[in-house]
Amino acid sequence: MSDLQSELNLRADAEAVVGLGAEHGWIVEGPNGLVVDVRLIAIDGEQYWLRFICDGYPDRPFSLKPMDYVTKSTAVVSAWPSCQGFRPPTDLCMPVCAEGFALHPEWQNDARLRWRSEGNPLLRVLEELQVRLNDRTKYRGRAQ
Amino acid sequence: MNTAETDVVITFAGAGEPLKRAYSESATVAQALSDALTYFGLTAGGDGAGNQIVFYLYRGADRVDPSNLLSALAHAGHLQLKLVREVVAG
Repeated sequence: MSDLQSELNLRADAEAVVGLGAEHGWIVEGPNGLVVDVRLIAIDGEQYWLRFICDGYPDRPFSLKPMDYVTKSTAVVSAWPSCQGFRPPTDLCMPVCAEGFALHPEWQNDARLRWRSEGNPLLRVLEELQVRLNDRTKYRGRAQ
Repeated sequence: MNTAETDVVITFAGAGEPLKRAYSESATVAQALSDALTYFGLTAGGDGAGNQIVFYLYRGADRVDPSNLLSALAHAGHLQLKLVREVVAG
């Protein structure tokens, strides 16, 4: 898939996220090329910016990491939530991003865990992460 | 349409077309959840590697209890829900 086609796909899905994410207080910045940044709000009111780098979207999982909004660095631990599945400042060990599938390639062979390119993957993953950040049994505040 | 029925639309961001179905007054969220998983070709549960996959239904930003009646959640006989997956990797 060409970068242009990926950008067009991403732009369409990001526009849907803008509309549907309002109820959660999401803010979407971009896409700028194949990069889109989204702010989520956790159950304790803490805000987290997520950077999605969407090469081959939607057929390939995007890179996904929390980032410091000011510096745009994903290596700032305090930009990450302390939350099950998040391993600051390295990666998300979940079947929602390229980093997760790199850690567990066997997930691609599991029909329930494989990367799903159907529908709006950007929206689907944001919804899954919002569920996690709303769950006090999994989310414990900002990482330090 | 039977006036006692509830028109339910369930969307899933990992699919295209939503599930649209009419349910009786006594139907529960659990029934709609089961139907949604079947419709979208999804499977919940655990596996030998310790991964747990769970699905929830939401009305707006609020998770709905599976024991709730769909009719009790509806407005003027209509109810919009969305299906969201949660995966806890083992």
